Amino acid sequence: MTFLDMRWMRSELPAAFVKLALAGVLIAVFRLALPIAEVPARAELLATVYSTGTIVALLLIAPLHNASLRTVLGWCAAVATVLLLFVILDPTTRIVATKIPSLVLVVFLLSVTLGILARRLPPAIVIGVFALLALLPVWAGPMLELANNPPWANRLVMYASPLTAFAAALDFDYLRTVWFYEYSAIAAMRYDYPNFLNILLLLCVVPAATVIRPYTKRNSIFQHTSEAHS
Amino acid sequence: MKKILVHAVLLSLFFTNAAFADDDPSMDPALREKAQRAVDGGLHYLRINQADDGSWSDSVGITALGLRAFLQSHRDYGERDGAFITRPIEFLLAHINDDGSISETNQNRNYNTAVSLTALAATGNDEYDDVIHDGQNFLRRLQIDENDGYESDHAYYGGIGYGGDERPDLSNIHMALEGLRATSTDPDDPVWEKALRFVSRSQNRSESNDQEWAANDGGFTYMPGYSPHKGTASYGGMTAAGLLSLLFAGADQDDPRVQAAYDWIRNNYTLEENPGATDGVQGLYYYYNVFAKSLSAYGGSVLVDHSGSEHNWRNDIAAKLIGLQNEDGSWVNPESPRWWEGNPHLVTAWSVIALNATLN
Repeated sequence: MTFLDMRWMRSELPAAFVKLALAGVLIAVFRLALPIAEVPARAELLATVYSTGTIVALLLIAPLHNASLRTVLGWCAAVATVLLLFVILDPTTRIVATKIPSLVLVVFLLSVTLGILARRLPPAIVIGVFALLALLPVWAGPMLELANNPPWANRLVMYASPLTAFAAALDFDYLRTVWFYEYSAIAAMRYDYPNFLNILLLLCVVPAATVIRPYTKRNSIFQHTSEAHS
Repeated sequence: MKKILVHAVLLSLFFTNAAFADDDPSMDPALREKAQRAVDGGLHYLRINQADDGSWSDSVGITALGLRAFLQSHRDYGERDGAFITRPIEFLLAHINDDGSISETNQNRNYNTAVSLTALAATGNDEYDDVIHDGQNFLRRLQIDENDGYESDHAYYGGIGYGGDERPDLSNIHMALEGLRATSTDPDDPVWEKALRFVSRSQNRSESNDQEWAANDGGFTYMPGYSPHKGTASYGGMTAAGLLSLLFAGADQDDPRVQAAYDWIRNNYTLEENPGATDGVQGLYYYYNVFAKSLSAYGGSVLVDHSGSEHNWRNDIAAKLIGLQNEDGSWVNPESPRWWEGNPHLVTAWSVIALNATLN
């Protein structure tokens, strides 16, 4: 099957448009819903929030526990395309252009990780835990403050929150943005974001563990790709 | 006619005295001696807790503040005095980044660079001129303006934030302005005018603040439209930082914004707490530090509070900090670690700098 094969285009193109449209709608919703819409904020902020929102939405909309690797890649391509459109259309977001690959890589690894976990655990639990971890800096902040911010606990919180992955990819301090500064006590403490490479390694743990395990039919997330290549 | 004129002169002298009461610029001699001993104790604590590389808490910001505490003390320390001064300088210089910032982290590049500039300027060594020049340019680039897509009518315009994001605040800009002022930046630099716009928009003074939320007590909040303590209420730490920022940016004592801020300080004069802050204890030492620096910059030693009582702020701050000093010479905020006040290296450096401001 070649790239220009009409059958491929007929089967994939509508799905691609759907993904693109959904990613676009999600990003637009985030942009309109958040107060940052009134601020010509740097693209890092937009991209962080948008990408995070998109990945959560991916989980909610796409049944990732049954998704193929191709589906995940399709979503990542849609996210990349929408971010690219933003960069082209909005001059204030151009500085993020070089960071799109890092962002999409994070979206991809997080999607694969969550997809694999959602196959072994009820998806609702995976989504719930993901949301809890995303807001870890908010709800764990008072406890850290009470304990006088022990460095090990601070590092744990920073590593465990998926938002850190986006922040590290973008070199962007999201904890000092208005909302987090108001609601996360960590923003008033000493903290540092982990190195992006460390984050990538961490995000590779679950996918790598799955790959090195003996291949089984239950590994549906990789099954379609395998079939497509055969 | 002559009698009326004499009465008028006497009356005006009376009111001038009542308002500023700055006829006594000195501290109580016995207290001065105690304050100097407290400074010595604080510096001793810092010295024995200094890392081998000259740093404190492995932080550029805290190291710069510790260094400044030594350099501006009554001991008149300088690079000639040895490694305890030269190593922290080397630590700062080792953390210069390509963009001119001096920081070990992306998160606090403004604070770290600004306090490093102030400390390097305090050495009086022109070998650091290039570093200072690059640092100044870095701080200028952080300032939010048209280049970032913000027009002058935006609440963020002219502000400076932490450096890892773009949200500006009064605390960050006051540090940046202090660093720029300490390194003798051109008074015609547009950075000052832009800064004044942002600083004015953080003040609860509707005559000079075009933001809808602005009240009229003359105090300052953390940033336009937000205070970490309550709504947009004024509080001590930020009002002192606001007063200092106005003065650094070129406003003089007669400026109504300066007068309004000074009046807020007079009306809320206390060293028992950070007035207006949550429980009065959050950011307490930050308040002492910036309170001492702002009143020192404003001038005079005695101010009159809302009840008509006179306060020699130098005596009051010195007495308060002496009373709060730990046996090992350190200071720390035991009631609230927020904003790093659980770190004795930072809080000791701040306290010594505050005492230095009362002594100098």
